[in-house]
Amino acid sequence: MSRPELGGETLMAYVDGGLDVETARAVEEAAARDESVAARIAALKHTRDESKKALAPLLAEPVPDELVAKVRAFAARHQTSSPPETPAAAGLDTDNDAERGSVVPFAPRVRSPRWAGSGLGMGLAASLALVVGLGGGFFAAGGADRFGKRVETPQFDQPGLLEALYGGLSGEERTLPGGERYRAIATFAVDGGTLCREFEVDGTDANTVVAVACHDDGAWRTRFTVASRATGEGYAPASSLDVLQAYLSAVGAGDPLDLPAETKALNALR
Amino acid sequence: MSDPFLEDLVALLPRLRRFAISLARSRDVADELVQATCERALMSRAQFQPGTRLDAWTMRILRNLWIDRMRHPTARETFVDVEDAYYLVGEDGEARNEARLKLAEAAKAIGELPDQQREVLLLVCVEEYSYREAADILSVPIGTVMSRLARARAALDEMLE
Repeated sequence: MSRPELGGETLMAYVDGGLDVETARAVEEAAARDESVAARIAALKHTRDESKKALAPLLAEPVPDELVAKVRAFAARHQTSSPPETPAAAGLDTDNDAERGSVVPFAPRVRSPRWAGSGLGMGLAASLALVVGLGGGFFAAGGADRFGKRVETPQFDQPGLLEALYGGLSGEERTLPGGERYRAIATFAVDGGTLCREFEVDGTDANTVVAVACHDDGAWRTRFTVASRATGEGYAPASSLDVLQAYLSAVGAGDPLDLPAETKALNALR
Repeated sequence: MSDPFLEDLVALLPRLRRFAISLARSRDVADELVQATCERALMSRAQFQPGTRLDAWTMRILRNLWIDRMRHPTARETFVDVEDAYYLVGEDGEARNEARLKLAEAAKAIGELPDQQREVLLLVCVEEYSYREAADILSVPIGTVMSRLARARAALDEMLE
């Protein structure tokens, strides 16, 4: 009679209840025959039991009334039965198309599990404060940087930002000439292959802007911005990231490029 | 008139909260996460297929929000009074007895696992999902679930020796 290989993962699957009846029986027979197998099973079971005992009681903790109240209040305020008709109505400005009167088709198909979340897609709350096109007052208007190009967008006009977008790798932080803190979050491709970068800029006035710029037609253009923690405006950070997620879903953002891929992609642009 | 989806969601709050507390190692952060999860769940309820597992669907949302939170560290670490430590579960005067202390030790050790190991251990051993269900929640292959789980157990065993 052949005995199946009883590797560590098989024993683990046995303990966690993931084996078919036949293999489970084989494991039990092996345990009955062999002390060491029985001991390994016991050890695996012990870890599982200890983990469960340690944390399972959290289930019995009463849920704070405030939390329940907030969830119910949110549900009451946002009786969304149908999604907004167009991305423009939802407040997404994809490369100024909304201003020109055409609407970029919404791509609800989500590429990356990393950003898939629940597939937020069209379900944007009307109450989310999306700030697109911050206007000239937010950052000092800058001249052409040393590459001779400008970040061609009405939303952003920022000395040093272009250099950061071309050069700095994700994960790095730097201070821009105007004193703002810039943080590169991720580089990725979107549907159609355009290279984009997600970054954050902490303004000198305590605003934080999360933005996505894409390199199209030889230049970086900011495609999406949202302000968070703007003083006195009441934007919720979690909500602004929700909107970012929706945008990333809409454009089919792929997984963030790892270091070698990112370096290669950015080098190819220079 | 009641909303069944909302009621089911509210019924899930203790489970979501347990997962969130164990992931985030802070009740305050956990409650924020759970609230954000419920808000997103409500906003994207059209994507939920009635009859499928609402718990797994919302756990997935919660876990993804947790990942996002890690990518955008807007909150600074707040000092937590040891009495409020997330791993002291069920303090009802019995906190001092030996068995409770051992459990607190185990909970704390789980908190010290790398995030990828901790989340798998929580889903399989505490939330009691199958490998397949955990793989769906985490958007990884089953093999990845198993290898991370094996590493989590090995790390835990070493910490608790």
